[in-house]
Amino acid sequence: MTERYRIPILRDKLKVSSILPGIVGDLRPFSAPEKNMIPLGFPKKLEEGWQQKAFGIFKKILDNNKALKVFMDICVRCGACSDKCQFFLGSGDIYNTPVGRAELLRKVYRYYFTNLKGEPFSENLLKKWMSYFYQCSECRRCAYFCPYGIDTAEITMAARKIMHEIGLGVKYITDSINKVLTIGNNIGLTTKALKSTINDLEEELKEDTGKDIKIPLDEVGAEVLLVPPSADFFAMPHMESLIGYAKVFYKSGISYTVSSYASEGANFAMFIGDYELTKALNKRIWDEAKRLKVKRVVIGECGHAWRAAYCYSNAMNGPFNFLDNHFQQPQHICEFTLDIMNKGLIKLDKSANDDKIITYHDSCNPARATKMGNVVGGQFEIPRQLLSKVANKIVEMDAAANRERTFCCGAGAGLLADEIMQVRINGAYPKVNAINNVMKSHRVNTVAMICAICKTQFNTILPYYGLDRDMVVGIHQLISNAIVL
Amino acid sequence: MFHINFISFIYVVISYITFVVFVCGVIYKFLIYMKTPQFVNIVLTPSPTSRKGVYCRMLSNIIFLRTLFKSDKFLWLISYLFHLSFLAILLQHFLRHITFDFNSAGGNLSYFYNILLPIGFIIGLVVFVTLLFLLFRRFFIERVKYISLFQDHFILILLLSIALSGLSQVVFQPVGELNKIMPELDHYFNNLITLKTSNIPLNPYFLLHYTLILVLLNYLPFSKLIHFIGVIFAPTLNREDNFSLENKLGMQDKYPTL
Repeated sequence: MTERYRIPILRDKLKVSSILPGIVGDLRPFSAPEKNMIPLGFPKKLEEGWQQKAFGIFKKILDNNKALKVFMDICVRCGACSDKCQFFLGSGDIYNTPVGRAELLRKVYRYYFTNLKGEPFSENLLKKWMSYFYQCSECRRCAYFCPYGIDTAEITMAARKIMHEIGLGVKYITDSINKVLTIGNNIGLTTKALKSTINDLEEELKEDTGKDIKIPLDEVGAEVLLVPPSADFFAMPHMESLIGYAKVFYKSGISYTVSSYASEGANFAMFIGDYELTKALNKRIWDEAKRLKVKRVVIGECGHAWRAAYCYSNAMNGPFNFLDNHFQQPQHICEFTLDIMNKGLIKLDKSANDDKIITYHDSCNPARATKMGNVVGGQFEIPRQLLSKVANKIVEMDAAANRERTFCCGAGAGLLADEIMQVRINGAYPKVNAINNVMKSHRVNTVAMICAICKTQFNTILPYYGLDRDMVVGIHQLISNAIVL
Repeated sequence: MFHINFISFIYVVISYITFVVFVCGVIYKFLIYMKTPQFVNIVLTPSPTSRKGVYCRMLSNIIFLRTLFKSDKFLWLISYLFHLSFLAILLQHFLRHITFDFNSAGGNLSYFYNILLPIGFIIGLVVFVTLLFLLFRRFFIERVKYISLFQDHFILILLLSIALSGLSQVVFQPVGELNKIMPELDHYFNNLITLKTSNIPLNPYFLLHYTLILVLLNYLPFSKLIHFIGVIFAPTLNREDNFSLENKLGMQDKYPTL
């Protein structure tokens, strides 16, 4: 299986071996079938006159999105971003540099909206779009390094939005959005399936701990509505973190509930830049908070879910006057847990994690798009404080690959599809490299993180690089180990 | 306006057109950027949470090119030197040619002239050399070579030509020649800004220099050079990380159906 993919070589220092334009231009995700597109209001396939429609959508976005309007004009192609993107570092394809990627949209912008030389819409160009705008994980590492703050995520979102509006959808992303809208989560777990999964978990917990630790579902009148990513209900190692949340809530004495209607924090509509769908998916959380009469909303360990909830909720579905205003709404589970720990409600046994030498991976969305605990930099400090409370051996990764400069796992923004495994392998390269370096220098054997996509991605990708997939853990999994019940 | 010769007449007309194009172009872009709404806050974190903090971040980015310093030290050095010296040479030109009416201020023409000329020459050299570096980058750093477009080279070559033609006025012609056109030049510019007209000095180096500058000013509002306005409107840098603000602004009601 490994032979089918090109695996970049892990080195002490990151290096791009050779620059070859177009080398990964044939990697594309599966197109969305008709049944995925129609319910979302998109045309089922490319139709006659799509160029005109694409122009219309492009203009509409430009008129309503200051970011795109400004970013289309002001890039000077200085090249500061050109060696910063993980997909470029992993593939060496010039179209995978942020500026090269943006140029695919920018030349269309120049053709239709300026007097400078550009290129009109064509099927050939769409092929490139379909490839390279799905080799961007909207992680904003380029925005961090750009002198003008040009955010390729916004550019990718706009291009994806245009493609979806003219009938070129992506199967994995539209699948997920449809499932959230009809069933309640990306995975398509029905209420019944959810119930039985939760029952199994509770039984397991009872066996392991001897305590009645509950994960209440759809309970009206609870204090907290917990919105985890749906992966936490069925995937490994995600479930271990769900157990972690349950234990924290059990010890805190605060009543909580998960919801079958809003059983998904993830917001895949954000990835395709669709304001209406993003708002609709986001609205489910707040509708459910109203229906269940909770006082607080807490988001689980998921990177972009936290971004979608933190950045978009207020603008899209706020204000949240019906919730308890003493707390930030929404709140991240790490902030919640740290608060409980600081109140002394939980006894912790650090030695439970003594078999692990831990490094922490900052996920891109929390790191560069949000904060936690209403403190600047809280998104870095709060998870680290949690770690230091539950484990003894913690090692920091290279600062050039972590914190606000963190490399994305390589599968964010709807890239977590199996057919583009090579893209994921390329994108993971710089981060895996950084992990490999601390493994060599400090014998690190565990990578902690707070993102469902990161967990799945590293779980799948690490073996390709010859590393152990069981290294991947969630922070609440470590808390779960250390908690004294 | 007909007391001047034909070439001067053309230059005066083009100069005024250029002024209108430049000012209107920049104001137009400014208004477009200002008016386009930004519904969701996409601020890049860690970010200041107050308005004051945002101003500090923005200013430090503009004054010291702080972000570029983080991403590429060599490029930072070169572009910082370029921007500083470019600003200085602009200032030198204004001091030398426009704002100073030597006669009514009772000043001594040759005194100012003697100071400003060598200063301008040195600064001009810095502009020239840094521009050369910026151009070489586009040919010799492989990934930068690939991303460079025609307009990137064009703008650098245009600026280089402006610098070169400006410098050659000092290098390639005798000092006497320069002294001869200077009064004429000051007269031309001072008249231009007070909406009077006079003959332009018919010196080939100067005319080339001046023509290229007119080209630059006409091209600027429609090119990537508009980044000097655009940078203050980048929503990743110009908003604070304060999401309760959305509620105050009532963003929910203005939300577009895109």
